[in-house]
Amino acid sequence: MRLYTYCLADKLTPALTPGLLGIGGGNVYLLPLGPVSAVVSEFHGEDLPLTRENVGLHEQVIENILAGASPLPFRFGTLVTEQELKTYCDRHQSSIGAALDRVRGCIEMNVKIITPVWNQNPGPAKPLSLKEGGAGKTPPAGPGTSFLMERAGELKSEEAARKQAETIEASIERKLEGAIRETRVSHRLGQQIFLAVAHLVERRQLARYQELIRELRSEQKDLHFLTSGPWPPYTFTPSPETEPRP
Amino acid sequence: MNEKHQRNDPVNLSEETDLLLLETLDHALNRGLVISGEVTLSVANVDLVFLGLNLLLSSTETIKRTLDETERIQKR
Repeated sequence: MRLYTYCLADKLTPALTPGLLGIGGGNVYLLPLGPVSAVVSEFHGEDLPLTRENVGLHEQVIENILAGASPLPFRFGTLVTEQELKTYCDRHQSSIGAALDRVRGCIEMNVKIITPVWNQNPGPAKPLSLKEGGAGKTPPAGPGTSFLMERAGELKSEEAARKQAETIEASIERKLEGAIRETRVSHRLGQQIFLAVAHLVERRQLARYQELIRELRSEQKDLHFLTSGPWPPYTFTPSPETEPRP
Repeated sequence: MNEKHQRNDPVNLSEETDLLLLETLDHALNRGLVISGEVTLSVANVDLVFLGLNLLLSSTETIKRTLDETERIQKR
């Protein structure tokens, strides 16, 4: 029998999962594992469908826990046996404890900035031609030269955009200083998301954080902000992508 | 109004719902504790998987449409 595993936390009480149904319709319950508890539900299916409903249930269960604790979420689709879960928690007891201390009393807020208009791709650099050759005798650029010039133009734009993203990132940090515990820049200079930042915010600072974000929006009207949260601290939970390999 | 997004009022409830779903996917599929190296999921909804695979692109298109519409309304 396998367990669908939603999150780990300490200082949990069954009152956080009253009658909650999880993925597959199983009752959500707490599984004590030494100093922590796992929030799980029995899963009897053969496979786990990736559906809106199941993703929503995954999130809903964790947010129920978030209402009274600071959980470390599992990735969607974590199906394990009880023994596998116990082995995992025993093996990683120290790092799980450190991770729980890191997020204790906090939630995650996200800020995304959509590519500003002034950072739209200006297009490739024009190759030299007879008319632009100064003395009028410069031959047209061949395909190789054109490619290099185009690439040079792109690199110059990327460098300028990178510096602009760093400037914006720094201005956000300065504005929110004191209201955030940690920051993680998870994406920069994508096609359309210019900057994506995750903030670990103490619950008691949330109102102040939201007020500062409102001020930031009104101060930087040329930027399109998309903020969301509170979320469980997904980005500040150890994962293969975020933690350095030993 | 969905309280999870702190931004301008939504002009389209379905777009607000899509944004929330995409952000939830971004968190739940890409982050969090991992016990084993792989997670086996079955594809029950091609639309959802498509959205998940094109998370950033489709989400920002929706975001842009919403923001553009919001700005037009505010300028009236």
